[in-house]
Amino acid sequence: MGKYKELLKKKLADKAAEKFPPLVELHKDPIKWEVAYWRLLGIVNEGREITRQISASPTVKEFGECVFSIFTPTGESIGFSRGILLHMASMGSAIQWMIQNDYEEAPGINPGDIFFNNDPQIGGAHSADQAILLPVFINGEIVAWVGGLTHCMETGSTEPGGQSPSALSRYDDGQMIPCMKIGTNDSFHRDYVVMVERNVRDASWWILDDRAKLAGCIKMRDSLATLIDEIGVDYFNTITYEMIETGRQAAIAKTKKVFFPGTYFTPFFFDVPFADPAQRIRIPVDYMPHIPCEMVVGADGKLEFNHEGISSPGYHSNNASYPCTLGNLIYMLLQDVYYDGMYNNGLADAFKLNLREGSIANCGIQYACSVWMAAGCLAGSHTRNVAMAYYAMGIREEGFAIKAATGAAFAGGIDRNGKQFGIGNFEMSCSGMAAGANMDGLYACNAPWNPESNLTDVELFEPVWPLMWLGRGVQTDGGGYGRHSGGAGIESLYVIEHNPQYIESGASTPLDYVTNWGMMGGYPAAARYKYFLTDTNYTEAVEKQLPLPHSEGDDPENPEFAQLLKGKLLRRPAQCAGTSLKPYDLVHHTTGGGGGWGDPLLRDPASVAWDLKNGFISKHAASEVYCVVWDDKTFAVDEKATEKKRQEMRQRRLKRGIPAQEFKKIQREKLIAGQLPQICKITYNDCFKYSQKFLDKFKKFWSLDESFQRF
Amino acid sequence: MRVSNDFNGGIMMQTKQGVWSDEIMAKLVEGNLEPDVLLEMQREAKEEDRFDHVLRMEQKRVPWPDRIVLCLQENLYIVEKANKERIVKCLCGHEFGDYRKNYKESALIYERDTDEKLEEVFRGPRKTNPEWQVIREIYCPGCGVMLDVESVAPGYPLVFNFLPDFEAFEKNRKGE
Repeated sequence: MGKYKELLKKKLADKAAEKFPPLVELHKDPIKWEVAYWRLLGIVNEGREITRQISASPTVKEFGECVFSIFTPTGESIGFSRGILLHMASMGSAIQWMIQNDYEEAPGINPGDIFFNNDPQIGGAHSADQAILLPVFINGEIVAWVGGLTHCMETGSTEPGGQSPSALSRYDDGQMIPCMKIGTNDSFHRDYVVMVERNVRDASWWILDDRAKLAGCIKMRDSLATLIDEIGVDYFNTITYEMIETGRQAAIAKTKKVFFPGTYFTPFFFDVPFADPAQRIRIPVDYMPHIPCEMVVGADGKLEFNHEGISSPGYHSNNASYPCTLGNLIYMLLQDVYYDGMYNNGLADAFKLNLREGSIANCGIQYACSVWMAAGCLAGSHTRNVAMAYYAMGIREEGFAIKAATGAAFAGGIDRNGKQFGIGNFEMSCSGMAAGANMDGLYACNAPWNPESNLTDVELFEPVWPLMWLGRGVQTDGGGYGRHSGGAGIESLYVIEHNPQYIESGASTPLDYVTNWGMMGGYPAAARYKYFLTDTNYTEAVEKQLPLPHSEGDDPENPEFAQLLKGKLLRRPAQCAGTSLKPYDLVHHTTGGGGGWGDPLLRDPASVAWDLKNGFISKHAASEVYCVVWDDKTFAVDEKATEKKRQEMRQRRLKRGIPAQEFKKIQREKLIAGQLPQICKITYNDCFKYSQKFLDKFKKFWSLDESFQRF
Repeated sequence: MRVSNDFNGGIMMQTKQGVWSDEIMAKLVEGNLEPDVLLEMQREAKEEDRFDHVLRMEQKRVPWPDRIVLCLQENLYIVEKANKERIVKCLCGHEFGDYRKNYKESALIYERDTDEKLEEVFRGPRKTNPEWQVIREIYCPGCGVMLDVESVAPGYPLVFNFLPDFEAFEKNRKGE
């Protein structure tokens, strides 16, 4: 057995037995220890910034879709940079995979070697997440690894743009390179570069990102060598494990302080409407995955995340690998709870993740993961659990309803220069934030997986993508209604330029489901969809200087762009398969909003009028959901009439609400009579099959016969 | 932790004991804390007595005498009755029963399970397909306040959001 394999085996055994290292050096000289930690964080952030400056990709340079880290010889992260926090678990698990698969013997791990991974089953969310890993040697021994990961805009997947919404299996997900040695002596192998050049539509993003990451990693390796030279290798080896242990202890202490012990539960469903003939999917099957999320807070501050009754994976792109799901949970906890702790692997040791092997969030190698919605939804549900735990403890400045499950547009084809292109516009980095107990959700600011990301100027995309933005703004009624309203995402409207061939696809939470739950009486955010306006008179409108559209307006059924321009209006699910478009066709898409918080009837009427005046909500919402009465010219609220209207609504609720026991009786009868849509039956039967606990819970709640096994 | 600040017209945000003032805490409990104070509070370490402080402020706010032992969610409390029974109670005074049972089983339920019902809230393409998803609104039978909104598949059991573990909480407090 290789030396590092043996070491890893011991580390994992210690962890399983809850044997953690003592904090000797920390207590001996805390200043020296702390300085070393912050220098390590400086090194990883330096690596990230160098890469961002070198990268040619707007995704990396502008959105900041990259992250860098230093790892122990056995793949535990010691310090993480800012960026895609999702990948705290990705690169480390790739290092451990190489060690467990005897890479020490073949292909060998030597100074100057460059390793690459984008296999999500090993580490990452999808093939677009591409890591470069370098071992750091001192005196012939590996003392650390340095790694950098970027999101690549084109991977050679079935559909262009790095993420293929209609991918049905792993083999549609793009070029996979599972932990391959792609270079020696700090140089890429020529045959690796040729392989990339020939297997993806536009290899420049991939290759240039690789070069940028390599530069960042080499700089980190050099800086680390300088630090180790100063503090000594033995001291470094000791404190790195102490830093991880400090991270674990800090996480447990925080949980103990801010969460009320108990059991919290939020289920999540989303839809995959692939049977729709307009989607033209080659295995046209609908799915409606169920992701039940339970968080248990123990007296000792430890967290347990359970998912009894979770759906199975399927022939769609929303499955997630275990590293992806773990990474999603980590980024949620890091942002919502442990933001003041250590940025390292320690927090992953502070909780237990229970997930059925072979479930949609821990899928097998054959399943497509391009969009990995399962993991994002799982983390989103636990956000709501976290918010309830904070609330119970009186921590009401923290905690949010469910943030937007983000969505963006992906496209490819032949560009204006006759060159192949594939690209994803990361506008999803500006989806809506959810509301909290004391604040509205912010508009157009949220990317749960990367809090550092930023919405790129359209001018940076237009040169590399043959289209032109006609408008970009906050979507009306995009956030969940509530006493504090959820933040809306953005909407974008663009026109395809005069290129010969263009394919458009889109990935996000699909059409039929409202996924981003509100809380405490707040509504979830609106469902998403995508509009195409084809065969337009755009050129005529330009020639005649007619008014051009810039947005959807405030009537989603009759969008403004379809009123100002002639054309054929097509509505598709937000997660739609590749759709062929022509020059001067229009595309409209949205990025999603966050859930609302509290009963909308308790929202300050003046805030409702302000939202209306500024176009953030429609008249319909102000009048029918918030029950506010205002003056159309001045937007002044008629407080007396508003109170009367709200009182009437409360009376309507009391009248239309059915006592729960009666509700249960009616529903039970329907269930026994089999009056349930087929898609629900399929989903429930799958969940029952794999979880006796879920079946028992279902039977108990509806008082079903003991013999009931499936619909 | 900072000793004091002087935002918002001179309200002392924290005393020397590192505790937020009652004025600030009252706004936090009402859900109307000013954004700058909220930001400051988010940045500070959490005080040891936060749980008790919030409970004291909530107790002042409610129109009934029962002792609050936990704030379950907005408008809902777990209170201890004279006979030591712990029940869920609405701000309006309506009592739902034992906290170990889901309060929703004693609430009013309104399920938006048709296009018409859904379109009252979500217009056109922004609504869900009721074959796939229903929106369930949970109301207090006493006052009609909306306590929760569930978005689930038809036929899903009512969601039991939170079962507190008082025993674990007491163990935690005693440092066991």
